Amino acid sequence: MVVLHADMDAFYAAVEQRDHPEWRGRPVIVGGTGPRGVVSTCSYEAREFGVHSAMPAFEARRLCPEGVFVRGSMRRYGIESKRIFEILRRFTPLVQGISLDEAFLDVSGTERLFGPPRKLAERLRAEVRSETGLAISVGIAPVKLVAKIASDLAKPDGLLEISPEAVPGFLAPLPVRRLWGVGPVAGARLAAAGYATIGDLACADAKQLEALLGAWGLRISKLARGEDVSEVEPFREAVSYSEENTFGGDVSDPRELQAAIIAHSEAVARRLRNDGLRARTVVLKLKLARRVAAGPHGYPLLSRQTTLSEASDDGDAISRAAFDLLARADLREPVRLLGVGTSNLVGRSGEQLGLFAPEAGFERRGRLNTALDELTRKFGTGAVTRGSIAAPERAALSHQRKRGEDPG
Amino acid sequence: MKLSIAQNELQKGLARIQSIVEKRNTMPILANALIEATKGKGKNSGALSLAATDLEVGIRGTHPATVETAGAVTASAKKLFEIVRELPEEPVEISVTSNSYLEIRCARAQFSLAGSSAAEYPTLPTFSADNTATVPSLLLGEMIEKTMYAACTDETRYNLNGVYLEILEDSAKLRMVATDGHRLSYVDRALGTDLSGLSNGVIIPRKGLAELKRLVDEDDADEVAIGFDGNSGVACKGDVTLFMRLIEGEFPKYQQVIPNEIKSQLVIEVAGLTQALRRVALLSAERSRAVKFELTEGRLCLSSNNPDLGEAREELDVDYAGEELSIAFNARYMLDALNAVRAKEVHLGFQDSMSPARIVPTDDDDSLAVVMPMRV
Repeated sequence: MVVLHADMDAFYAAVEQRDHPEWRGRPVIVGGTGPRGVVSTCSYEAREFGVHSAMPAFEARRLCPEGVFVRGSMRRYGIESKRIFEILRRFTPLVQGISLDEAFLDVSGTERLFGPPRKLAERLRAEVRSETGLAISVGIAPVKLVAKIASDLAKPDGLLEISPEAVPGFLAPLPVRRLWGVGPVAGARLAAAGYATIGDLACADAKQLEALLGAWGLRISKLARGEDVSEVEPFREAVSYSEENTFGGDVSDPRELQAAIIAHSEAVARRLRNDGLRARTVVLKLKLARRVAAGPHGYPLLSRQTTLSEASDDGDAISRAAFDLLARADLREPVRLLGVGTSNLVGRSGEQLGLFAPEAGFERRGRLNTALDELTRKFGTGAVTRGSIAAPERAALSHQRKRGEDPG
Repeated sequence: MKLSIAQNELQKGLARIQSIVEKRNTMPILANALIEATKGKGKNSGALSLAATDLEVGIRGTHPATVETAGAVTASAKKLFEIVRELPEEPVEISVTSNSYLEIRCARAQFSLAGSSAAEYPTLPTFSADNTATVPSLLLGEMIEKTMYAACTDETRYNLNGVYLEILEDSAKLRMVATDGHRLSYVDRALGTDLSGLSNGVIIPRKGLAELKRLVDEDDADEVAIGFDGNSGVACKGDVTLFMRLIEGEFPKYQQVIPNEIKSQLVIEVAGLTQALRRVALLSAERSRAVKFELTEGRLCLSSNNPDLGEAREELDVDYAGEELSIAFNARYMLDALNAVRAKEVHLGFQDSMSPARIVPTDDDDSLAVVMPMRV
């Protein structure tokens, strides 16, 4: 197998710099601008100041006071992403999108068409550059894990190919944190047991790793030896659509929570309609403001879900279900983050029809939604919203289209 | 309280209430059985009553016992059952201490089980026997079996979470009907007696109905007395009384979704169709379970496909000469309906690919099932 990992360089920031020539060469930081804002992406110029993604915005401001701080527009990035994926699909139909700016491509057996993988990758990079004006870095390797690490090391605007023979030598000196799933906790545990590099893990007895990390230790042991059996999965359908926001300040006012629910429900419903899908399950996600541990995961996370009697792509139906979930959650403390998600998706075909005529107004709602979608396409997100809501103040944008391997 | 009762009687009574006791522990006392002993007139006569309720459904059974001292107490229904189940078939002696402990003795086994005062137990409703009508157990059981499967399990549609009972105006028959919004089933039967309290129709919730079914299936009496009053229903059979809280809500106007106009109709043998459908359904898409029905002259072709697994197809010879039709169903809905009609042959009728299918047994015009198709 020959896998390419293609990853846009500082995607959101690069789009901003391209569209605002006056920002080129300057540190550009895209993300929430409120007191709770978080950096989504920053340009390479900003990284020199020590700014990085997921950093609180106030900290970024302190490190880089002369930076250009932009809220960003998911809509524009989405359009750009679509163009880039169209280019990627010229080289192989086996494109697995990971996010807006990142994808795996299985290019096995394309030599006749495009020459050796390295040549294909160079051409891909050139086409993205000339058609979008943006830089993309590419890693080439026999497995996904190694391709991803390679593209990371190739940045910015680079290309790195790791041949099958070179894999062990390439991985060996890298820190264990480079492996998928090894975060701060597992990293610390491995370090304490004397494993600092991937090479250390590759030499270790798999049984010892199992004793240390459980069944997952066996997987780590395989990954460390460059054995990643996961395939590029282009046809894997999205299994859930969700949207969430971290509030500018902790929120306990139910009206404000409801406003956020409506905004997210409408957005998620619009994406469902856009993709011709309906959802049967609605999930409400709440992160409480009370900190219980250090780190970004140190807040209690509540997740409540319910199944609709009929699959829906209507924001009102989704938000009503989420209101019920909010009421059932019986919150007695402030909330830091709120998200609305939908899963259990069904397409139009294979839809179970109902015996009884839908509730009164159902048809009209459908027509209203179609009209709203048309307006949104023309004038952008937020051009029309419900009178009852003002969009929640967002500290960070997060649109997610989760896939099968990432449950919850 | 002090009494003696045969082990098998006690086990039967405790087994009956196990499905009622609250498992979710919202009110701890509801995990208990209410145990009441009453003295009879004779020296060695008396009765032990065992009752349980989850506030939706309540059941009380009385059993012959030799009661020395009358009294009442409550104790864990599950633990009591586990104990009694393991006892030898010999008389079981039960007495209650002043601090509500049950002393249970049988042969050489001895238990002291913590109980609590009967005063804390919610009162079960009482129901006057004047308001009940006696119906054959078998008939009631059949009607439940033919309808309950179609009742809705989605709690947000509470008015569909049960079976609707009404008396038909023209024939005075009792009709039971259930629907979950995707399929519907009804059955009409003459009771030969008046059922009071049914003038506006009632909805018996699934759980109450399941208990009623269990009750009529017990082979101790051929008849069961049922009655309705306000928002509760009661069923008495032998020494057992079942109370059911009814669903307060309006049952939808179901008559209007039963197809009257049938464009394509065929008579088909249930066993053959069921077997073919079960085979073809094996490769249907996991979530939708869609199986396509294609009708052409003399032939019904069933097919399915699952993007991850493959496809299946089976043809059946049928006596059909109407228009060609292609329609898809959730295999489970179709199988449930075919299974519940308990008929050898059915009329299977269609209007078009977006309208409900109608299933009527060839030997019984008084029952009917409707299944809504899926978008192909």
